[in-house]
Formats: sequence, C-alpha cells, structure tokens
Amino acid sequence: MHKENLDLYIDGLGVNFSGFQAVKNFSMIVKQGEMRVLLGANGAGKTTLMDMICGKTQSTEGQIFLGDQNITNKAPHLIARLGIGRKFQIPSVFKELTVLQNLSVAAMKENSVLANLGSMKRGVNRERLHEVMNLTNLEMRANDLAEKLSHGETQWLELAMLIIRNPKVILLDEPTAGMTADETLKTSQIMNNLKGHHTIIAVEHDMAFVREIADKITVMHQGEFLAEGRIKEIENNQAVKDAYLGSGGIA
Amino acid sequence: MTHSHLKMIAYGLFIVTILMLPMVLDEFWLNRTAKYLIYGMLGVAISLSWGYAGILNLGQGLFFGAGAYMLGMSLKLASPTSLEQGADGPIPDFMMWNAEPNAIADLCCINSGSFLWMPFQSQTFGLVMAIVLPVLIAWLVGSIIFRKGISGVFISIITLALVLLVRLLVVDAQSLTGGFNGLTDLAWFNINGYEFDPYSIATYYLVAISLIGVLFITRVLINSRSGLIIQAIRDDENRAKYLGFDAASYQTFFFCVSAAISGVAGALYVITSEFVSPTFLNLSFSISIVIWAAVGGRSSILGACIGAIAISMLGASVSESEIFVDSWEAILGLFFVLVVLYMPKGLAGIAHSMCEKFVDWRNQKAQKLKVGEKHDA
Repeated sequence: MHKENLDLYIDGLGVNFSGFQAVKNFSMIVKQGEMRVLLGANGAGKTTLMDMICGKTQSTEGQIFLGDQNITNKAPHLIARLGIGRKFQIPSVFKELTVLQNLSVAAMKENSVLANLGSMKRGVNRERLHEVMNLTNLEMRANDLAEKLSHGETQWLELAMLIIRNPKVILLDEPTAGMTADETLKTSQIMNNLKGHHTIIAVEHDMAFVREIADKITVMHQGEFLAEGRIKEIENNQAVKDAYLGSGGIA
Repeated sequence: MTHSHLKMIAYGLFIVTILMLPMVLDEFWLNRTAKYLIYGMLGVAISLSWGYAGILNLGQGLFFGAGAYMLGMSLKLASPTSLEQGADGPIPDFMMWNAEPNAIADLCCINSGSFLWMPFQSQTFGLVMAIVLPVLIAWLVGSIIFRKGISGVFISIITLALVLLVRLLVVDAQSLTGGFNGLTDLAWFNINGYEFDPYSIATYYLVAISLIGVLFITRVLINSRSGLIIQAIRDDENRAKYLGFDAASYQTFFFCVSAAISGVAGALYVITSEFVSPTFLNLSFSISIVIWAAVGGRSSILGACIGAIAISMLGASVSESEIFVDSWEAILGLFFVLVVLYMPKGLAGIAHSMCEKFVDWRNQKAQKLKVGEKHDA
C-alpha cells in the first residue's frame, strides 16, 4: 500500500529582517509522527523558525516542504489547511466565547464563509469535539467563557483547538510556560497521548519536560543549526557545551 | 426557563409592539415612528459589523446614503415635476437649472454624466441598486482593507475618511446629484400600481415588516457556523487564521451584509421622508449610529436596534423644547462617554445580567421547592 509521505523538510531556510539575519541556512528533517524539541538560548531563532513554517513570517531564503508539497511563504490559512497547526507562546484563544464555542470553531468541517452559513447542528465534528475535551481535561469548563480560564487551562484550550483539526504537524511554542508543576505533568500526559498520531515540533525550556516527551532534539544557536540527536548525545555534545559555556549549560 | 427563552420573549414583545403601534398612533406619529424603526435597522447593521465582526465602521452613513440616493433617483424621475420639463422623457428639475443654454433636453445628454440616470427610469432598477451599490462599495473597500490585514482603529479612520470624501463628491456634482439640496419633490414608491403614501399605515407596515425581516435574517446569520467563526475572528484574528479560516473573506462578507441592511434602510427612509440629502453622508450622522448601538448594546442585535429607536425618538422629542435645542448633541455625547466608561455592553448588557439573576433566582427557588418536597416525603 502506498503511504503518503508527510515528513517535514526544511532546506537552507533563512530570514533577514532588514539587515538582521534572525535565521540563516537552517535545515532539518522531521519524520512523520516524530516528537522533536527545539532548544536554544533566547534569540536563537526558534520562534522565528516556527513563524516561517506556519506562514507568519516570510522567509527570505530556502524552502519548506510538507511531504511533496512546497509550503514556503504560503498564506497562513492555506498552510493551516494543509495540516500544520500552530500554538503560540502567549496562549491565544477566543476570549469572549465559551470553551465549547472555541472548540466548535475548531471542529468546523468547512473553511469558507459561504459553506458555513448553515446551522450549528450540522458541519461540526461533534464526536471529535468531546473526545478532545476529555483528552485535555476541559469537559467541566465547557460552558465557561474562555477569559475565565486559568493560564494552564487556556494553554490546554488552545492545544485542544489544534488537536481537533487533526493536523499532520503541530508546532508548539513553549507549551508549559507559566504552568504549575501539576499542570506541566498533565500537559506531558496530553503530549504523550498525541505522540505517534501527529508530528510534533516543540520549543521548550523545561528540561524535565523535554526528557519526558522528546524523541530527538535540535539545538539552535544564533539563528543557525548547532546540533541534533537524542538527549544524551546533546548533553555530551562539545559544540553545545561550548555555546552554553558560562550560561550554566542546558540543564 | 433559560436565558434563550427570555431572549425569544424580548424579540416577541418587540415585534408585537411595533406591529400594534398603528392602533394607537396618528398619521403624523406613524410616519415619525417609521423613521425611527429605520434607524433601528441601522442599529442592527452596526451591531452586526461592530459587535459581532469587530469592525467599527465610522462611515455607516455611506451605505445608508448610497441606498437612499439609488432609490431616490428612481423616485425623482417618476415625480410630476420631472415629467413636466417639456421633454419627451423625464428630466429632474435641477438638471434643467444646471444645464448649458443650448443643451439637448434629454436625460441622455443634458449634462455630462446625466446618462447615468437613464436606467433609473425603472423603479425596480433603483430598488435593486439600493442594495447592490452599498454591497459593491463594501466589497471593494473590504477586499482591500481586510486582505491587507488592516484592523482596529485604522478601519474606523478609513471608513470615516471615505464617507467624508463621498460627501464632498456628491455635493460637488450638483448637476448630477442635486448638490447641497439633494433630491426633493419625489414621487411615492409604488408596487404594481399601489402607491405608498408616506403617512399611511401601509408604509408603516412596509418598514416594520422589513425591520422584522432584517432582525430575522441577522439572527439566522449570527447563529450559523459562520456567525460563530466571525466572532472568533473578532476575538483573535490570528488564531482563526492559523486554524485555517480566511479571516478576510469572513470580514468582507459580514461587512457586505451590514452594508446591504444599511442600503435597505436608506431606501426605506426615502420612501417615508420623500427626500434624499447629502446630510446622510455627514460625519455626525454616522457617529450617531455608532452611539445608538453603543448605548443599546453593540453585542446585542435587538439591544442596538432598540437603542437606535429610543435615542432618536428621545432626541427628536427633546430637541423640540427650547432648552435642549442646542444642548441635545452635547448631552448625547456626554451620555455616550458615560456608557462607554460604565456600561461597555450598553443597556442590553444590563438587561442581560438582570435576566441571568432572574434565571438563577428561579432555579434556586425550584431547587428549594424540590428539597422541601423531599423533606415532606
């Protein structure tokens, strides 16, 4: 049986913000179903890299492929429709809508305005909606406004919205930022549940969390590729040690 | 009883009230009230674009004016004065006044551009254009600003500038538009030979039923899936984009619907008032529409509608007394500031929270009753 190739290829990617080279000549391949963590100091270009993958920032060199499809510099909503979901560092949800409404928006089967003129009863993937609400511990908050949620719950809501769309690739920018230890633990459970079903690329600083979830780690330094490998290899990598010398290492 | 039941009751009460009003109002007040209902329709339009789509249009009068001019042109051509200019076809009187001494007395070529009036000899054309032109303008403006990702206060500035620009053009093209005077001395609107006397019950019902229709369509729209998505886009445009929704096409669509409603309102206004004036394009009018919706409650369709009706009614009544004739606008402005500061959801927001308290209170009472029954058993 022919299996669709959904690996993510990044080839020589770079961006120049009017003179400032935030990312340069960056390449990596993330296999379908892999859980990849991006590491690097502040300003290493991790978020910018994600912005380029999801279409938020236009790259100035190089290319990005999802399988055979070239997605370089396409409009964000088109990239999203091809199956790339993005979670932002500052959790962004629809604040004046209830949790259930937030998730319903994500559970729409159609994208265009005219196709969605029908009633709410149809065209929403309800089964998936409840499945994901269970997975992300939001069942109890279904009828609360999103603005009433705690920080951790807001993060889960955004994650849940992504999962409902069943993206091939999920980009997570610091999914545990600002979470309590308990919330972080729950988040790593959610992540481990997702493993294998989606390709996941996450920026994360919490090393305990990284150990818990990561298959492979890519380290960036000053906009460039520095190292790649399993967590042990990265910890013993001389280049990584050199780059982090003085800042106390990555742990 | 739930909150949505109370909402239905509110709509029901409002509809019954406006349908019953002819039983108590005389001709003069019927005509006046019809105009207020038309303002109510504008309240619905701005609530849809501002409250639901997050597009604060400070030039809503542009769409209202466009609708009014389009039907007004047809009604002008059908009026006796236009037919009695000594030409074969109808010619508006002001065109004769503005014509060159030896211009041909025909709509095709009496003034440069007067040929644009020719299709308006059909009232149906004028009526259709009263919706088509506002939608076309909204679509053009919307396609540009929403595609470019312009949002928030910049949309307000652009729409504000646009209505002023169009006002200048309309006043300037006197030989084509009647300039400052607008279009006066219009014929009555007629359907299959039935003429709508502006002071008749028939005209009142034409307006009232149109308003009910607009309320119904708007409710269906905001309860649809697109209605939920546009609210999502209002709250966080980027989040919606990165879920795969083309935010610009949603915003353009709802902007166009809002324009269409305003166009219908403009056409109805011409039918009830028998004139079209460039004052429809005044900034103060567009701002008033926003104030009506803010006071009534921009995120409530019915709230904005009632806000528009109540404030314009109040305004018309008090500005007749000598004390208020000059100060009314200042009072309205002050009221607006207070509303924005202390009741961001307007009067509908207050009604909403009162309803919630009422529902809670009833539920608690019902629960107590149940507990009491158990106790008795």
